[in-house]
Amino acid sequence: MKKYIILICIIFALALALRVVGISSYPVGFTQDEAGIGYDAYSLALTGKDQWGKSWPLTLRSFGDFKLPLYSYIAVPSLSLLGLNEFSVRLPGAILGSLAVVATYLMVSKMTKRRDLGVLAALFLAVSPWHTALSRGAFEANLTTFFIPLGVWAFLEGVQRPRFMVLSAVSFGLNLFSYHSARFFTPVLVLILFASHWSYIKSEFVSRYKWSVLTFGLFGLLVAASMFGGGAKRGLDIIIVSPTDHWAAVADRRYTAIQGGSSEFVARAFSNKVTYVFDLFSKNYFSYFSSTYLFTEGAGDWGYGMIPGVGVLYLFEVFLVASALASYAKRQGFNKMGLIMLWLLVAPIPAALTKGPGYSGTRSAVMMPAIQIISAWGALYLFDFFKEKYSKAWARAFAFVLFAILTLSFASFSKNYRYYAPPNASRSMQYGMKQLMATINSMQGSYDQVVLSRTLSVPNIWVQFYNQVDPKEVQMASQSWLSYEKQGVKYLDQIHEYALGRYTFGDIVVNDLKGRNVLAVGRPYEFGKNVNPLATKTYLNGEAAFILVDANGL
Amino acid sequence: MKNFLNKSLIVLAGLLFLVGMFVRVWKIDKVPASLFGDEVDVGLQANSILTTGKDYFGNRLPVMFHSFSEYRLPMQLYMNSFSIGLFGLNEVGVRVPAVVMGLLSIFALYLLAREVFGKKVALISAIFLALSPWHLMFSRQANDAGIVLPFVLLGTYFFVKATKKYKFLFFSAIFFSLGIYAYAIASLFVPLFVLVLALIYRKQIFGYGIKKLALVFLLAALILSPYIKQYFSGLATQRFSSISVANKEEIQAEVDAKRKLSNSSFSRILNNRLTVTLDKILRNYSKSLSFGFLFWDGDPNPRQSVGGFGVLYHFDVLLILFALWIFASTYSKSSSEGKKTFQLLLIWLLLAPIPSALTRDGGNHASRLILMLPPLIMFSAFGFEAIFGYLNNYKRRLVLGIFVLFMLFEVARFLHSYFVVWPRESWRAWQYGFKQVGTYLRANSDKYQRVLMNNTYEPMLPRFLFWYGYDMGQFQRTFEDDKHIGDIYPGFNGFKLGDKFYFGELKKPIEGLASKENLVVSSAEKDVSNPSIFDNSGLNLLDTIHSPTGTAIFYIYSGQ
Repeated sequence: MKKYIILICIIFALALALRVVGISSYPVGFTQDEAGIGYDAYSLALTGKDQWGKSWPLTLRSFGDFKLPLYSYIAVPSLSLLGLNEFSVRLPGAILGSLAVVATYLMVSKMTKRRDLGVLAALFLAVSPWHTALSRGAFEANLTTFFIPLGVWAFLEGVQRPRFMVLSAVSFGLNLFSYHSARFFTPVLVLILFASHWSYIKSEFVSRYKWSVLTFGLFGLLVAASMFGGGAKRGLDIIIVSPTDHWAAVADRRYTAIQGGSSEFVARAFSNKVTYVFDLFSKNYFSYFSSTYLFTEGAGDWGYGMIPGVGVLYLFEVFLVASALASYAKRQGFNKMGLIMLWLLVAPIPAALTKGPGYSGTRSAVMMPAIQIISAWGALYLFDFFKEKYSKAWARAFAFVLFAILTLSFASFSKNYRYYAPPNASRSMQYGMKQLMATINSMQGSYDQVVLSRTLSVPNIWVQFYNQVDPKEVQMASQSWLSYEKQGVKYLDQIHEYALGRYTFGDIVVNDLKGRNVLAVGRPYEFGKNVNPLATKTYLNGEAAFILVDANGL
Repeated sequence: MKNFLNKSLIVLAGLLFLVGMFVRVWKIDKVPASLFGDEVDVGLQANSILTTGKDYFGNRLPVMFHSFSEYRLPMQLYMNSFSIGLFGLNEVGVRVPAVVMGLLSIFALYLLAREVFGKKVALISAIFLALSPWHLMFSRQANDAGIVLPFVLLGTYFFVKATKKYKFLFFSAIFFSLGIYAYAIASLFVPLFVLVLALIYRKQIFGYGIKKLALVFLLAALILSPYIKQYFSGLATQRFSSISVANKEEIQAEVDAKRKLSNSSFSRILNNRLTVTLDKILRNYSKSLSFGFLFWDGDPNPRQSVGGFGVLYHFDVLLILFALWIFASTYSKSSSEGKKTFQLLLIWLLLAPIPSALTRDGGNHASRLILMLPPLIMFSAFGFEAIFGYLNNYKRRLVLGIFVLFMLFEVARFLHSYFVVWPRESWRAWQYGFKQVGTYLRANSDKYQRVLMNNTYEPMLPRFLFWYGYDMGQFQRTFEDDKHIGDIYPGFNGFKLGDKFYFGELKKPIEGLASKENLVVSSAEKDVSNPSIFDNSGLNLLDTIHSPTGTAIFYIYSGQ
């Protein structure tokens, strides 16, 4: 017992170090979503309202994308203490990511009654490339990897001791506000837990569990309330049943079939909304279990600190996962392995329902830590197999080789993360905004106005964040920004022009700017060919990012 | 009742099999949309052998045929010389061997599956293969992938048979060895596979004793000796080095790019030519076993996959996973025969992607991965059969009924896409239009002194030879070189065949070539940016070749 506590303390310390050291600079850059989450937390800390002036919101309007608010609320203490900067915004994610390792240990140990599996699963999560990457940024998708294991652990404890069930309800309830995938996944998991433990908890259910049911019910009501406050909007916007092309792909295929001599009926039978959604959903869903996603290609893009071209698991884990699945087929899995398997099967559903190219490390983050538990079990199963079939020495040799490979794999990942990722990721991770704002601040003194192009992606947030604009000022200005909704566009930065103090955001129209005493900032192509920039900002791979232009000279 | 059910199942099976036969021959001249470059080359070589006994570069009865772009394995080309003799130099003549070998592989798979699983699974396997998108694709085009399958299947079948009777080992050796003449992937796969087979069935095989096995080896060596001779001359591997994943310059460039970012000794260990090459191979390998390639995306090349479908059906993913599940969960309890069957299929599936993984873009290359198909089909058929074991109540039967309806819907949807949508989507990839050009020239070129043909859209020479029906003996005597020569004719860079046929680049303005003596074949894509020039009184537009969707491909004109 004591041995395991020491081990888990060491693993937690390791996890914390891997997640906190150097987070201001790695992952490289700082994305608009991180800045938005951070600024709302700052605004909440100072005024109790978000940047749109809404008191204690259940959904953050943010840039019109209606983010779930949990991360911002959690970040309030850190922003109050450390001020508005990249570190204070990323720190809560890193700490919760480290605590997720402990929660995983608690859940697995309780569920499987095998502390060795708990420790190994915790270790695998601690050094997981996927989890490490998602923990090092202000990525709300990763919160669920803490709240779910915590909730499950508390639920299992709560079967004997009802007060833990309240903790479970709080944990699951909070998770409903962490991320869209989690909002879908959590109720399903709670149902599964209830159904599988009903026989243990049904006696005197009402008197024993009234507080936990009330707590979870309250969170449920809050979710319902937030749905009316815009929370449903983002979800509906990105779901596959409302394709961006308004079904043009379906219509095109049908047209080709009819041109080829098909009857209208046949063409429609083989190419319609149902077949389209089915194809897309099933393809997305299975992609998250694909050898390519898990082991060789990984995430589809460089966002969120992920590294495409390397699996979200380590390559060698393919053997561990395969052994674990084989053990399950042979009915030699660990206690309640079925529950973890079910978790894995349900987890990618929300990701599969959303549009986009798939292979999203964040939308599928609910697969963690279940996948690491399976992998850890594979290792333990093989260890036992060697012990029984050959000898203890063989088993030890296996463990030694496994740890050597794990260490090497981790070293390789760290190297990629530190050296290889930054130049490749700097565009996706919106590198350079801090430096850009510093340059703008040093130059703007002599200009009447600063114009920031919409191509900076929600340009207002960079001003707000890096100039630490007083939230009250933003709340005043944002009242007029709301007109974006009336103009029929989805996101704030799609409107033609809006302003904050002496900063104006919108299109760069060279003819309008010509000869005015304005500092204009945008992408090089926006200014045409013959322009002399005051300064040029580049990404880490040398590609030109933004230029600053004196409009007097246009 | 049960009897009736069984009978109707057999009738259904027979019906589905007939459908499988039918979809292999129906519209074989129209779908795929036209003969593309490799198929034309097959036809030319076969015609050359048939009429002159030499390949078109004049090598007598070659082991490796010398083609314009590469050296080719001989199996399909010799087969084609028969079919072209029978059906003539056209789509049917070129594609018939693929159709025949496709049907043969259905039969061969039936035999093999019967040997390892029994009749029921064998029947299902045969039907699944008959309706498989992957197999249909290579049963209807002249591609080595369709030719190699029956050899490997029969080789395996006789190998398994040989565990009971020695003489079958000779048949196995014959088919496996001949398979190496059919498709380059076999030269790597077959030796590996035979080794594994020998290991799986080691008791029975090595039980025959060294002497008897040596005889079999001798036979294989004898059959392979011409190939081995070619191998050492380098011809057999020339093509591989041009498509290998390990292109030295590219690999080195990648290593350099990474080392620029970090060049510690540790990163040198992780990042060198070997690791970069291995990484590429591994990623190919993983991709070929991924859900995306197998069940949803298929090969990105529109000549090898139909858009919207994987190389297998969507429902196969459930059947195959179910089969793997059954195998894994019953493995420790199953008989030694059952264990061996599982080992055979699993290892086959794991070995099959290796040759392709070594090539560029080999991760989703449907033809180079064709040897994955038999084990996948057998897994799928086994899974389907196993479901019937779970039909003990009404609800489950209902679920299965719905599933079977879904399967039939998927098959119908695929066939509809294949025959109706795909030819219209893929005409460019199939290089549509040359048949019409060749036919026109054959009928009309007598009236002109010169025929000037565009050679920059696609290489025109082989397509011209094929569709014009040019005498291959004469070609061997007159052909010199296909390098472009500047101004070989005023306004035209290229080369000529004999004194009449010119192939090359039409210099702009292309009106300059128009005269009464010249017949010009110009490409809409490369030469004619503005078709209204044919309203010009100096030009005489004789014919326009259109794609199935109505896009202009060629303008044939002369002067007045």
